[in-house]
Amino acid sequence: MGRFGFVAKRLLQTIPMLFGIVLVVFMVLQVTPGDPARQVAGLRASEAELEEVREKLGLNDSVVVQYGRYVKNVLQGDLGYSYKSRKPVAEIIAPRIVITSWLLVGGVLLTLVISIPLGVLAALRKDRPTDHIIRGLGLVGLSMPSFWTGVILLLLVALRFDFFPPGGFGESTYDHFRSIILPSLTLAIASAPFIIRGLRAEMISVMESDYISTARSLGVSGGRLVRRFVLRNAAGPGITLVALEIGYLLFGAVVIETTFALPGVGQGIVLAARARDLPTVQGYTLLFALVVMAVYLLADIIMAILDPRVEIEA
Amino acid sequence: MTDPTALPLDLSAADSQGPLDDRKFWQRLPVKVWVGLAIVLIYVLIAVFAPLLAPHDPLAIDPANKLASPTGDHLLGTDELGRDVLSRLLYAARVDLPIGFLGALMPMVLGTILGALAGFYGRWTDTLVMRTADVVQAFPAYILVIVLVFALGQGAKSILVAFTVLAWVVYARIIRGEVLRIRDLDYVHAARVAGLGRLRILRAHVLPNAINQTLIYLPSDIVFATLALAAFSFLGLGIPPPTPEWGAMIAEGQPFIRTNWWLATIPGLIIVVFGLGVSLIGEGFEERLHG
Amino acid sequence: MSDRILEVEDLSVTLERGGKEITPVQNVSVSLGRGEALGIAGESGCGKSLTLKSIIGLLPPGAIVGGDLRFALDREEPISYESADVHGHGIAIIFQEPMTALNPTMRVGDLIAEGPKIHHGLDRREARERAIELMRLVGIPSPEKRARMWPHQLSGGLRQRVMIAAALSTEPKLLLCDEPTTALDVSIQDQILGLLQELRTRLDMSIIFVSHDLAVIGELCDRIAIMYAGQVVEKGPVDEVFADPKHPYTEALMHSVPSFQQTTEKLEGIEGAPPDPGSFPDGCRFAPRCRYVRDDCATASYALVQIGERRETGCIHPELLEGIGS
Repeated sequence: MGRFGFVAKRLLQTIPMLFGIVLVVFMVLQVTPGDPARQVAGLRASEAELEEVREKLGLNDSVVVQYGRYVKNVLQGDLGYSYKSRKPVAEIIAPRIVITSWLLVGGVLLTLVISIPLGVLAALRKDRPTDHIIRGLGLVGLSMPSFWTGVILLLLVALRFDFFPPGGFGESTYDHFRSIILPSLTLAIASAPFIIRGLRAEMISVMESDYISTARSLGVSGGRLVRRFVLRNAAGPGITLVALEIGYLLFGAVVIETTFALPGVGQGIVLAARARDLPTVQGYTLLFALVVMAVYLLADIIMAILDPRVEIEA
Repeated sequence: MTDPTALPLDLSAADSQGPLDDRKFWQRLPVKVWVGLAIVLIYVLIAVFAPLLAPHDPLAIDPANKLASPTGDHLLGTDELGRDVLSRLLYAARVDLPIGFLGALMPMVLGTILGALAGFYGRWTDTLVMRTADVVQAFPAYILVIVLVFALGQGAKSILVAFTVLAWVVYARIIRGEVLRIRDLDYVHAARVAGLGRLRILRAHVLPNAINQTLIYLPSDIVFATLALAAFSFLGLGIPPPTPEWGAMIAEGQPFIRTNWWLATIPGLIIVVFGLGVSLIGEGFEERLHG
Repeated sequence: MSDRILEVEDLSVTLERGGKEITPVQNVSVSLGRGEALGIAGESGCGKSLTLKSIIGLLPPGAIVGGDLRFALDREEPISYESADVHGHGIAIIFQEPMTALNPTMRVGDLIAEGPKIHHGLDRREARERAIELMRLVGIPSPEKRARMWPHQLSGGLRQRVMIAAALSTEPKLLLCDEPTTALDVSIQDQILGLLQELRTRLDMSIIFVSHDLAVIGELCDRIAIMYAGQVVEKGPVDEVFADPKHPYTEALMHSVPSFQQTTEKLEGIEGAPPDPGSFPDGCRFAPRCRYVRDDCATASYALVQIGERRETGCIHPELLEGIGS
């Protein structure tokens, strides 16, 4: 009962948080300089035309009314209309989600493929040369701008092997697959250092913990020790570690999609921001916030399943 | 046989090393800190003396000589507008370094002030500051940076404001914790610290400890701020052209990687070495403080 | 046939700290008879815990153990062993903090069943029954219900009983106790001590009990070894040592009583703090803090000298001691 209670409580906590995020985003963009009506109507519009646009967009209403209307519309799936293309924001965003999902899934998979062995190895070889090399590589990785890593991969890999296109997403599933490898690798190189570092610390703290000594003193060793004592205790924090990276991964997607000309949501928000297209930026921000909240929630639920102690903290 | 009022021998002290002596601290710093400091110093010198070191005006356009390969006159060639790449790289240090440092220092100052206020005054000040901190931390930070930069408009100022609004929380928590710790000592062991003024306690106990702890976060925040500035400029949302900036230079050079590969790669390398230098300092401090 | 179960000879432990080698345990020799309880006392950092961990091979990686460890599982002469040999075979250990010593993601019954599963080839069901049996043996009420609980759902006293049950699951001949009562309330402390005493006679088990609390050692143990700065400074039967300490450090320890508040105040007549393993003084290591110190103490080499029939001291001037009445 306790753990279900925790999950339910956690779900309920998410709702006001979402309203809060929408409110903050809405408020921040309210103070954005520039006249939305002017953007919509164009530079040559007369004052009367501007007034007409304002009335149509509801810009003359108070901020509270505008916020209420925005929330109501969002709940109905209506994110408003782009100032630039006049198309519904939801329609602009939706097709881009698929591409970013490819990138994030590929990026997370490659991150795990890189980080788990290196993190575990560094922990097992703590303070020995292997550990120093892995940590040194981590420091270099942390200092590398991901867009630069992308450019380097383009230069060293894409320009030499036709298999990897230098940009874009292609038409067929096969093309998608080819297109997503280098961007995913770039994302993984950017995020792996954090995961390796966290995993190493977590493994070390689990292996140095008293209950591992207890297990060893009882004659538990080898695979049994790792399975029954180390892994289950390291898994929860490991998942949290990856989940907490989601904001960073999304930002990575923004930069990497621009580098590789991938038409995903990351590239989308940059284009919208450059065009100062407020409703579209708002829509993207809301999407990102939703994703982050959902991932945090998911991680907490998995934690609750893995760690029996969670119920008392709830 | 035993006198219950007798003062006990120290049976509980787990830490037999005692507090760190300031001078010893600096003497025993690992080599990597010195390597890091040397790297950062070179960058600072480049930023300060860029006008003396740069062979050309970083903004001077020469359409007749665009995308030139390295020559004696243009050691790293020219960009698509014929500007000298080396000069632009050197001048860019005057943009990236100050914003990198300020982007980490400003949150630290704000966080220290707010944390100290929360710790000293408690009650509603504490509640206000710490609840705000909770809210800021719950938000996906990087996305808020995009929103803030969008709202405040392109440029160094809005990037700095965005960093400050988001990164002060960690520092506030550290300082508040230290202040509370000392406040407790103040009341419980009043007799022992009698004669010592509050300010002196603050200076002698709160600051050294807090500074040691914040020093661990400062380097990684400098790297974070520098990388983020470069990223925003790369995306066309940061430092507007024609001011030279490393991230923007990578974006400008990317279309020409087939022919002039150095245009996009060298600015990145310069960022990596700088970030590595700062990280080495941070790692060294952390090792020193946490064994 | 021998009545000795454990012999520790000239044990030393070397660790690396901050790129420097330190030897926090040196020249430690103790032995233990079958069914006997030995107490090891000393301040934090004196090496008593490391000594215990060397015996059962739980030192941190990179630690170098010198000297000879000999253990007799059956009624034979003790033979030398490699540290990990005794895991689950004859020696078991319980720790100070039962919360951290129990796997937080394992039901306590499953933890106690690990030993029987691995060493006695019991299947799931038999091992579970064995676990419940052991829980009953260590006085855990309604063991069937509690076996299904997580460590965090139990009180501190019950957790320590679970820890003892897990240790007993491997049927040890020697139980090592690393300050097992320090983290518990006083009334619970007495219960756990009583339980250990009872198990010791019932299961014919030997015990090494490490603590900084002389009163606790006095309650449970036959003999005591006092450690200071990584060395044993005095050994002997508990009542004789308490009645007439032959080392100034023992005397000082007996004067000190941990007050309700853990402060770092020092005993009158004893200056300074225990030395750091990185900088043990030459000569007698206690000399810098000793109220009886003489010139030759600074050059005295370490040796335990027989005093009387069953006692040994590391002090070269035991005749100077005024006794605990002073």
